[in-house]
Amino acid sequence: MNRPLFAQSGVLARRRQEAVVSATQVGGWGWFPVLSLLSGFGVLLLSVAYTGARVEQWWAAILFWVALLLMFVPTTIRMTSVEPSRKERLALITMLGMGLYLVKVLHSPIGFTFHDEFVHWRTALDINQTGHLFRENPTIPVSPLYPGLEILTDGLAKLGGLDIYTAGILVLGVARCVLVLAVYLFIEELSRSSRVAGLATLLYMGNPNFVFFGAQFSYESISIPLLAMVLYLTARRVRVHTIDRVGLNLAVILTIGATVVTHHLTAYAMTFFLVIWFLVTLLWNRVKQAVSLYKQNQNWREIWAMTKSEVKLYWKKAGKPSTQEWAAPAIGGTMLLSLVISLAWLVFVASLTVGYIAPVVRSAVIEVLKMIAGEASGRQLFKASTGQVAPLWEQLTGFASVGLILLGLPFGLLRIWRHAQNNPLALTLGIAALAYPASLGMRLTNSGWEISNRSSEFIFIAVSFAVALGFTEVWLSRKQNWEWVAAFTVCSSLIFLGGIIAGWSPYARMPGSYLAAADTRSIEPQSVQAAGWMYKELGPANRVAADRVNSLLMLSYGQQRMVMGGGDGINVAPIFMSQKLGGWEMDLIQKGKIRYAVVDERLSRYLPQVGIYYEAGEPDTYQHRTPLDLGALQKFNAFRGVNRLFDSGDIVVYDIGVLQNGLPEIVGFTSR
Amino acid sequence: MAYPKSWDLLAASLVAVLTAGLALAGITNPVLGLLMITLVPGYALVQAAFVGRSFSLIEKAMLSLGLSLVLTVLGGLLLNQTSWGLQPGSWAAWVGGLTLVACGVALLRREQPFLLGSSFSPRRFSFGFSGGQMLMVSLATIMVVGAVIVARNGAEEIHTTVTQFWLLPASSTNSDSLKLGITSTEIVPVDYRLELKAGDKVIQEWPTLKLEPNANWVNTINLPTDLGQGQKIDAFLYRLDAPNKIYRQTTFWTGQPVETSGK
Repeated sequence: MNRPLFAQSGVLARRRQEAVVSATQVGGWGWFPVLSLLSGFGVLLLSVAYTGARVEQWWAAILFWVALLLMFVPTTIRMTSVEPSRKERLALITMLGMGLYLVKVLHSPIGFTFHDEFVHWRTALDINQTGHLFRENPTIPVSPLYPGLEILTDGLAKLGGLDIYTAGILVLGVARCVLVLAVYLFIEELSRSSRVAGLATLLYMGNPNFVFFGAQFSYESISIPLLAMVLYLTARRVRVHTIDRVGLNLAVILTIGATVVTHHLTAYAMTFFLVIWFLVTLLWNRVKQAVSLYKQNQNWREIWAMTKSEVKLYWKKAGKPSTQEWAAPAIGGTMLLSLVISLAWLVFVASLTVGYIAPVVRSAVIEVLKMIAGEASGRQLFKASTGQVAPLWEQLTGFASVGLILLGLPFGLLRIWRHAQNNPLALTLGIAALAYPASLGMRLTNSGWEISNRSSEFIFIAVSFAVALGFTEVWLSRKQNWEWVAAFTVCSSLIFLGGIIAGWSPYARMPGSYLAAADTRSIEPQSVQAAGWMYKELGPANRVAADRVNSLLMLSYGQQRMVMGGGDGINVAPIFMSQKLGGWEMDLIQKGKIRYAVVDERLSRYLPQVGIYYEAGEPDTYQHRTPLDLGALQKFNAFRGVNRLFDSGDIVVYDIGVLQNGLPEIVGFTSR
Repeated sequence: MAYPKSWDLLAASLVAVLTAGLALAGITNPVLGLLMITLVPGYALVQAAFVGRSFSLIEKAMLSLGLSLVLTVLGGLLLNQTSWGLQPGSWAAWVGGLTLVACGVALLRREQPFLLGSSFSPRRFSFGFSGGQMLMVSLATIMVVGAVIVARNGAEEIHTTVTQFWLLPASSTNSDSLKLGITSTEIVPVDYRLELKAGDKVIQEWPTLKLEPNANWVNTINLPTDLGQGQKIDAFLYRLDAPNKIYRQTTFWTGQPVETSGK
């Protein structure tokens, strides 16, 4: 199996050329020190941009993009060349990966601010305080059932004496390093070209979730690196015929186990990919033989008989690792292991996962079908639910990014089809890359957008390989001159920038002044201090209802037991949004045993950036045209027995325990 | 100076023992913690599992980091099954024990593990950088550290002027006395006036309360004995620079306990 992937292609010749060049500078760092200087400067500029954004400076946004390009472009130019040694490429790609990780770290340098981070932070706090896993988390109930990230954070926090935030970003930094190296080594293992591997890893960083979503304190940020490790180890395991195979088997088993217990979707994506890889490995040559035989004698019975005897022979030989046929059982074993562990975890530990994922998939499918049938209008791209439209250049870059990937894919797929038909892994990646165009359609729906966006981290491993192959073969195989390098650099940069634009909302990319229901931009001292007050004065674990953002803060800083759709099946929005407390609202309060209501009066002044004030399913979800009514938010003041315990200007905490006994008398209220 | 061929395993074992010893003594160290969670167990396992020449240095480095994460995750699941759970001591025992066992296996699988090797050379630890290259990489590192400092300072310096005002029963069982509190995170000292009323009757008044930035004011007051159950108590906070406008207000109905234990 230790033979080149693209034996018939021009890649081999170029690889020899690369090898010759690399051999002249074995161990050479090349341009890495100079580029590290530029990259470091880029990180510094980024930090200045963020600081400017916090005080509303007009130049901050420009500096943000300039800083990103300063990190990305010089590295890209260097990576297109045949000159860099493997060591230099690895150093450059790791430097870029870590530099882009800092984009997120510097965005929130003193605490978590992204939506999912608060949920996982709470799970980590529970583990940290109790020393045990699987505590309830009402915001995302499946989160504690996949505790890989929180376990790592707890280990470092306890052994290193660190707080959860510091331990979390350090763990994620190491995971990011593993991700970049594993993707590089996986593609290199497949293509046997450090140049293709370097460019593919570079393009992988253009996936919409690489810079922000995939770097947050959330389970995907650990599971994707583990997935990349599984792919690399499995690919490597097929080729190794030494005493190291036992070690590799152990590493594969352990890594699959850790991946499964860290994130549901990653586990399923991994299993699905391994199934396809196994099937392609097992069947592809037989399909080709059958088609060839059919063309020769047109007799299906004869072909079937031959295929059966072939399969029998194949399984007999399967136990012998020296044969080329060893690959299928090896991959089959990995696939079975992944399947069994994933199913076992789902059935015995995390059965809630079905109820968590199924509704999202169902509503996405329904939305797509309705859109196709013309019964519903799709989600408008580059338009926020508040009606704000992204600048034209962002729209153009976003479209260009997708267009360039779609343009590059056929070239890569064609190369795979023509020259890698004997490599099942390359074919499998080609098949996986086809999921990219399909996933784009889902971006036109509200529910499908989330699925499409999250799947990009998986699909882009295949997409980046195919596109890098296409670019390398078609563009960079020509005599290298600055025009080609410039064209490739521009295209890669557009893919990279387009990924950020498509993956993260404009208001969330940089810190700044308060925005309502805007997740990271809604995290500000007043709400944080209110949650802190709640914990200090009322203790933890009270049953509390609040809006989306204050729920996150009360859950984490306040350590309260939030009542919400995820954990209780109760959408608390009507309690706050209705003009008066009627039967329906009282029913929600009593069923949810809600003791405290947290009201943020700013919701009566601004539209919600994420499209919802409380939870999806509230009145006017994603279609709010006016802010909430202040009178509706303040209605609790009017009831006898409802205590207004806390007031910090915008945040008011009510003790509504009296409502458990029925609707009390309405009394007057002196409004400020 | 000559050194044993397996100095790496000895160093890993030393880090493991040191971390475990300190953790059991209740002492933690961020560097040791980081090494033991993200590098050392994986490194030891890689050395134990891969004694052939199948993997390059960079592959082993990636696997060391990755397998450390893997072993920690799986270790957390195992520790959860124990009665003491995930505690500093149990963590130290897990990652430390694993490292020592893996180092032992690696030593057994290595050929002549205790053979003395050649002398230490500074070049071994210069990563092959020339002086100029080292300078550039160092400057880049300094800029990144500077960037972190700038970002942290920028985030910490954002001031939001908040005055928290609250009113709670002094204890969860007795609502005859109330606890009033003000916390000011205003940028400048602020003068307040506080008024406590039962219906239209002023129970108590604080004409001037001056709070410095980040200062607290908490006061417990006993309610008049003639107040009946179900009486509404209002507390109004005014700023003296806007004396006629209620700045913050809270309300408490007597006769109701407030949960402070969490339910």
